[in-house]
Amino acid sequence: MHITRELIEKYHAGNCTPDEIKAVEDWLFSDEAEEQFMLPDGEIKGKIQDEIWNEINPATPVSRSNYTFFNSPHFWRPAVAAAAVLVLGTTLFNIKYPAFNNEVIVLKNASETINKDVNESRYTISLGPKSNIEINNNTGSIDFCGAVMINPKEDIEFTIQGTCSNPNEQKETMTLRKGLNYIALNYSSHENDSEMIILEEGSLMGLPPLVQRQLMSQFNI
Amino acid sequence: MTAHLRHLYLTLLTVASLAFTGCTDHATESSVKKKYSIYAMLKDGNEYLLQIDSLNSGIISPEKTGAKVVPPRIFHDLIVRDGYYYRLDMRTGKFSRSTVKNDVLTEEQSLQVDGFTTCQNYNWISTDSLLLIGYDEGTKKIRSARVNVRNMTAVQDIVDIDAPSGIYNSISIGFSKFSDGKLIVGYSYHTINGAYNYTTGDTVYVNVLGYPQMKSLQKLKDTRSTYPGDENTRQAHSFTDEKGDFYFISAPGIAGGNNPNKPTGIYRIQQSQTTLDQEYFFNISASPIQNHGYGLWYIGKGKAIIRTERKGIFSGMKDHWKVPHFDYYVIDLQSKTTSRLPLPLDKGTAKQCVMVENGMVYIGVNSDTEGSYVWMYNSESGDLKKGLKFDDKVDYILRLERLN
Repeated sequence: MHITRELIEKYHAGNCTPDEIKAVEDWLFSDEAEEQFMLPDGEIKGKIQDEIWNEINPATPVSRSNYTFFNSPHFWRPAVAAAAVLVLGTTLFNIKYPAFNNEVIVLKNASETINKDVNESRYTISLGPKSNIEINNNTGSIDFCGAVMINPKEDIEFTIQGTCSNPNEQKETMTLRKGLNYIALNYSSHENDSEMIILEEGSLMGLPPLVQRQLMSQFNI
Repeated sequence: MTAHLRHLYLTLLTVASLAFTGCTDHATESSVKKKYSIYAMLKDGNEYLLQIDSLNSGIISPEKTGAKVVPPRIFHDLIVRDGYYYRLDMRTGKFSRSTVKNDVLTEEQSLQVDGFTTCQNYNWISTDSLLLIGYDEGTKKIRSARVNVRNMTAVQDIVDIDAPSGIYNSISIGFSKFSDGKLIVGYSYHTINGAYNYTTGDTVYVNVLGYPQMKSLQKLKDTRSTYPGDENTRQAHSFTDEKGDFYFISAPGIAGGNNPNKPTGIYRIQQSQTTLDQEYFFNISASPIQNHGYGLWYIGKGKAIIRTERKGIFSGMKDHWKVPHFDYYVIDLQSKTTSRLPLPLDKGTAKQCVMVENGMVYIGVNSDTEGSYVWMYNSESGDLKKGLKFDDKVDYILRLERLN
């Protein structure tokens, strides 16, 4: 069942059918959001936090001196809980189905074998197994650990940083050209525990054959 | 009248079609007979196969005169002989024979090789028969295929070499040598974790197998170096000299076996012998070269050319492929002396870019400052000069080899 804003509002109004209730609750409590978690950055994030607080704040008890029936815990506890769930649900909905281009993308791939793919308006990304990445579209920075393939849809300048270890020593700013496939890899060798390698796919020839083949197979090159 | 016109039209169409067919055949025939094949990668990432009759002079523009390589990134897969390009597709296990027809790399025939998708070593049994050896990760077996390249049929065997075990989870077959009904195979074992880290054990293994049964008769170990050879579709690593002595290079540098504490060295198996010559080891890393080397090409009369990296110019694998840091040395296999060719520093980690013909050595060099040229080294006189020039769009000459 497709989860819409209207369905969530209907859920909180108590007007859902049992199937709709199950669909909304499955969606709310599913783990998927933890793996692909997109948050706006900086001021926008702060603004959303303020909005959440402002919505909850009027609903909290203010003073025991004004105790009335409405101040009764029997009324407020479920009301606050319902309001919190409503706000949380709406926020999660916005995170899952953003109406605007996300500023920060955080992606973690715990799989041993399968890639995770992200299709953004300016690029696509395929995150290799046992890898994670954080992309800030505002600043053009990519922090990653593991292996990732980036395919820009336009020329984009990124500052790419390997974060597996010694993050400050592993930083490179470069323009990724439209239509080419780039591989970024944190690679351990004898001389360097975690060396960040960024290369266009044709330059895979620079790697030892077994490593080259692993990457070509993993990213279907 | 209408019937006549229709007849005339059909006649003209037939004549035109015959004429076009004739032209096509003629073009194909002339292109197949070109002497040399060059695989070039341009700065925009596109790749071209060029077929050319002379490497001595002129300027060449791959975009204008080459066949664009589709699918690309097959530069390290190719086996080139008698006008044909052979290749084992790592995705499908299909072994194909292709030619360049009308500026298009065109597959003519193929066969399915079961069990292994990577040719780690090839060896011509005869002009029509090719031995492929590779490791099958799925079943953890080393497999071979004897391919008749005329009718594209294959006989497959399991090679009696121990699969990786213990701390090792992969293996590289580095060289193979036919010797009086036997096949001598060199290999080493690896530990690899995804693409994230990779190294090679400390030992060169040599297995003497009955041929064609592929049953092991004798197994030898040597720890003077490791990673004997590399995949010989990428770059040459071994040869047999005029006396029948066989030489191979071990390449434990970071771009080969990645066990750089071991030295790069050259081993010998003497004619009619099946064991490593214990009296012979040319330690390249301890020679005046003082670096690791990878490619090795015989140029005749006891001399070879070795392509070596230059530490201090590159910082690691992150720039090994793009920084010009490669030297070419002429080495004397007996006296173990070395002499650097005064070429511009070359770039590109693994290139099949040295070809020898009648005492002339052709070397494809890509310099960021002096451009891309085929350089000509006369091994008799010692003369070194520029030959064929590539236009500025060329980034790497990845292959340079005899086609016909």
